[in-house]
Amino acid sequence: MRSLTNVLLKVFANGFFRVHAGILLFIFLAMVGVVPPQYLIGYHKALMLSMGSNLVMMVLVFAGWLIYTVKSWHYVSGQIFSGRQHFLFYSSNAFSKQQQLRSWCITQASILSPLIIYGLIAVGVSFANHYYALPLCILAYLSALVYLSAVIYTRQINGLIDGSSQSLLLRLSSKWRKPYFSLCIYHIFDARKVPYLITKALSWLIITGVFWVFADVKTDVRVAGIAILAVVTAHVVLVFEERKFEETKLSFSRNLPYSLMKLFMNFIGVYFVLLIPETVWLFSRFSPIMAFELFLLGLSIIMLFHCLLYWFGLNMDKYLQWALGLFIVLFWVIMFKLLWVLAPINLGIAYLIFQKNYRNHDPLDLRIS
Amino acid sequence: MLQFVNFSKRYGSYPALKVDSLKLEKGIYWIKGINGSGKSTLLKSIAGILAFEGDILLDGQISIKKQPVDYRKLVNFAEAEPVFPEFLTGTEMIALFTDAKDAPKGQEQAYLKSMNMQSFVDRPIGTYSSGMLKKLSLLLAFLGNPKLILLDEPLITIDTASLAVLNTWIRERYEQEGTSFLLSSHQMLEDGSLPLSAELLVEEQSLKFIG
Repeated sequence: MRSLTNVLLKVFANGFFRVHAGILLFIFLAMVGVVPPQYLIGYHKALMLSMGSNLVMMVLVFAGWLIYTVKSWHYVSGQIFSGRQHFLFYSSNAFSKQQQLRSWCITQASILSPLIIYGLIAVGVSFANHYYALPLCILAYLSALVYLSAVIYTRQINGLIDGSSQSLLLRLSSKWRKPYFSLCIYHIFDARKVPYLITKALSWLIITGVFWVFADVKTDVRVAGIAILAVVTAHVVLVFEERKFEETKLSFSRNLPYSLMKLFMNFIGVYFVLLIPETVWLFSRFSPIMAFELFLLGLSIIMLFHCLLYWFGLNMDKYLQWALGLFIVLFWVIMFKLLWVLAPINLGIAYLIFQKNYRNHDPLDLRIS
Repeated sequence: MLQFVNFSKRYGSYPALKVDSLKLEKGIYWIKGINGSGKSTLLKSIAGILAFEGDILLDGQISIKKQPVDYRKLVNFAEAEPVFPEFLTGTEMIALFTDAKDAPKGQEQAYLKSMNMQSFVDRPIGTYSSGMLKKLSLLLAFLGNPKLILLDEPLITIDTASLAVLNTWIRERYEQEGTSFLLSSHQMLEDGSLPLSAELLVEEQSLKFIG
């Protein structure tokens, strides 16, 4: 049984932390950096005490923990069915159900360890201050999360793989013709629904946030321009996913007789579709001319982000640095009200990068033989 | 038919393949070479998938660099281990290639039938076995009116009955339309199954005729 726990920990727990290292670090820093250092311990002690003594506070924290747990379900289930982990379907389920459950409990506890450690300290602090009922709820809740997750994973592993499952969109569209440009869109809506929805939620938050901050000057085109810039910057992960799909699954298309201009227009089409919710918002809020100007700006910035990836390849670190750098530069250009100039310049630069690199780089998946 | 002009392919600083000058006349060629010798690199470069220095000319005038679209209409390719988006069906891939390569309508029907693919071609590619995927990628390489078809390791993963069918496809296209073929394989081709024009060897980062 220890052998199984060992494999599960290495594959799933380590994998989870590797993939989410950035966001976890960010949350950690946000929690540490939220108050000046001298108040840090006092602040967290108060926070933990309120968790153990105030029902509303506890429910709020539970909701946050649930989001974290759902994220871990999403990751682990994705991995279980990813093909590389298929060996588990003909090895791990030879252990008894009890043994499997125990190994998965340990794995999930390890994935939830940041919550468990924080929760246990909160329970200790609350006990020390003579609160007992709610801290016991915290213990029960954490145990339930771990056990429930283990039951879900064990069920998945002991079921049979149904390779024919298809998303609703693909079943509905099975009779439609799928031109080349639509493939990236189908990919996003089929396999990258969660990043897409997160991006759109972020878009909405940004728009609301920017107009709230600049409530006094909200008819200024610059405010809308900055909102669009921020919204498009929130799409960087989606752009990266789309490029990764192109490099890995569409490498065959490099043998197809498409001109560079056609391919470039193809990607404009892809982002036009992905930005439809934002476009609807623009046209419902601003005059048609201003909405069109802002729409063009958004499209030109996203194409620039897209084409950068042909230049230095699928390097996330470098990409994020460039995205941040460009954000700052474009921010100032927008401040000087140069929106009309910006769109053609962005598109021009994007096309130049595309033209120079598209046929001069190798696709990601290189099998030298 | 095909001409290499100062062709050189590098992976970073590692020189993978170099062909200064070589001309291939119309025909069926068998490219030999051990694992890792660079057979796939050669075929992927000719197909326009990998970037390289120098040039490759088709029929002495159509350059892969200067007329990239015309060149790609006339050169088709089937990968050794094909990868396609799992959510597409075989029929959708065929429609995409038919459009791109200007294939006559219904051209795929005879191929689908002779390779017994009708039963699965409407299913999503994610459900295919490696043999089914390989058959699909071979069929795609025959769509349109190419002057040259590149088949990378066509013998792997398909069964012997399908192999015989593939040989018929190659022979028919060569004899009726004068299509040339470059086939790479580290295995022996069956004696007399194909009218081979010559054998080529990829060795020591270069390409040469055998014998």
